[in-house]
Amino acid sequence: MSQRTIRRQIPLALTFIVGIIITANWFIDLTPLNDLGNTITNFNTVMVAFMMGFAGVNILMIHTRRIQKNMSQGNMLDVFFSVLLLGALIIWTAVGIFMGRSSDTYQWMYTNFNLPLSSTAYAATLFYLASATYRVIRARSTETTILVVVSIVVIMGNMPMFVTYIPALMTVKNWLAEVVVTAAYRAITIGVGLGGILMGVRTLLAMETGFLGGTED
Amino acid sequence: MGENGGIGKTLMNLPTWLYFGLIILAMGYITLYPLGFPIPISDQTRYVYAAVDELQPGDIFFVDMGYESGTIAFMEPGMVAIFRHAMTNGVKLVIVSSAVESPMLVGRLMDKVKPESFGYVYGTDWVHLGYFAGGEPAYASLLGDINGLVTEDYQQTPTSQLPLMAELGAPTADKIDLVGIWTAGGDVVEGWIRQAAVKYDLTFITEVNEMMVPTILPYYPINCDGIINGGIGAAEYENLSGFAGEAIKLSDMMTMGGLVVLVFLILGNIGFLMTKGGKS
Repeated sequence: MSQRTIRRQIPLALTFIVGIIITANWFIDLTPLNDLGNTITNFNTVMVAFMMGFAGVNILMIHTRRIQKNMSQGNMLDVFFSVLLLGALIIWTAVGIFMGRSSDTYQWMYTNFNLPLSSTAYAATLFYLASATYRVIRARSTETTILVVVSIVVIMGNMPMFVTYIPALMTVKNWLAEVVVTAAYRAITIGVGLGGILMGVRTLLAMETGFLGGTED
Repeated sequence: MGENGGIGKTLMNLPTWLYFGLIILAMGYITLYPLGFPIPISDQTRYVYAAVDELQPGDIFFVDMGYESGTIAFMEPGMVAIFRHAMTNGVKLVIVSSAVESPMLVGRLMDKVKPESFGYVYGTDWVHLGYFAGGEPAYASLLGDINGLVTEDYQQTPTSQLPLMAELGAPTADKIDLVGIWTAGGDVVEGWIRQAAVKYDLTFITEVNEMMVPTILPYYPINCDGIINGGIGAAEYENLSGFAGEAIKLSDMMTMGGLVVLVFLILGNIGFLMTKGGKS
């Protein structure tokens, strides 16, 4: 079997067969076909889980090399961050494998490290948002003046204090969201959908081969 | 530049510490001394309430708990209120997670919901199946044949020992009465809408953070029957369902945070217009 057959024709044939089955599974209610479709999508879930494990190994390799490089260049702060990352990766993996993902230790580590760090990082974005709103949203032109007015209405419409005493704010905010914004988003969504169909058909017909990597010989 | 230009420049360049400090002060004050503003209820929240309220005892509510710890402050209160409302009606819950962290948040969520106070038994009335990788194809698998994909729950108990899982055959979607998605990512909701609401015509509700709501609106109210709009929506739901909780307490804080942002937005623009006037 030639290299071309192995690297191109077999993957393209598999893509075509799997794509046809999954597409048919969506439209046709036939038990054997639906069972086959479910088996293939289950296989996808297993593959993605495997890829996440592979990503962990990749991080390990990249940061091991980075530590070596930064040590030789004397960038000790970068070394510290890489060691911290790898240490956390190794400890989490070890606790998960040997003590179980639902063990008290695993849960304790999550509750006392991840939860406060992640919540703090997210909460801090409020300050950046406030800063950006103050410094960037300026009525420089007709378009940006509309943006300022809409921003004020939406912010006020999201605050119970204003909506209680000015009920029209909620009506205006909802109209903006459900008519103006939705119209724009629907147009984008339909465009993306049509693009997706086109890309799907091209992939099934082997006209898109970028996912195979490399270029045709 | 005249006097207006000077004031305008000052308003445009207020020091960072001032508005950061004011945000902290305003939110701190309102936490200690809540004002208890009334909470008007939007149609989007009313539709979620109606979808949960229509469920009958024994109906199955399929939930994707897809948020992570960063968004817990406004996701969890909405989930607690909706779960308690569903449990009042005797609805069974199947919980999965499309976010890696979420399974570790189910414990603290259920500590607040207290299923045992509604007479719920794990395995019979609710199950927690943990995280699933794979995005939209995984959603298709879960709705197609959940028992073909899942062999054990998050606690590693075989699903064959969980009576609720025996009720979910293939196609699993035929046994589900309501789908609810909690996530900070709009693309997750869109994937679930395609798989649950479009393919199987299931009743569909979701809670996302405020900034993601516009991405869901194209599907509302035809494919997505109701939306909880972040923390404000959660407060509305608590108010509507009578299960007052953390969201109502937080709503004053969100109001004050928004108020400070609003004041500075207006001040910045007044300053900008004054400076422009000074130049002209």
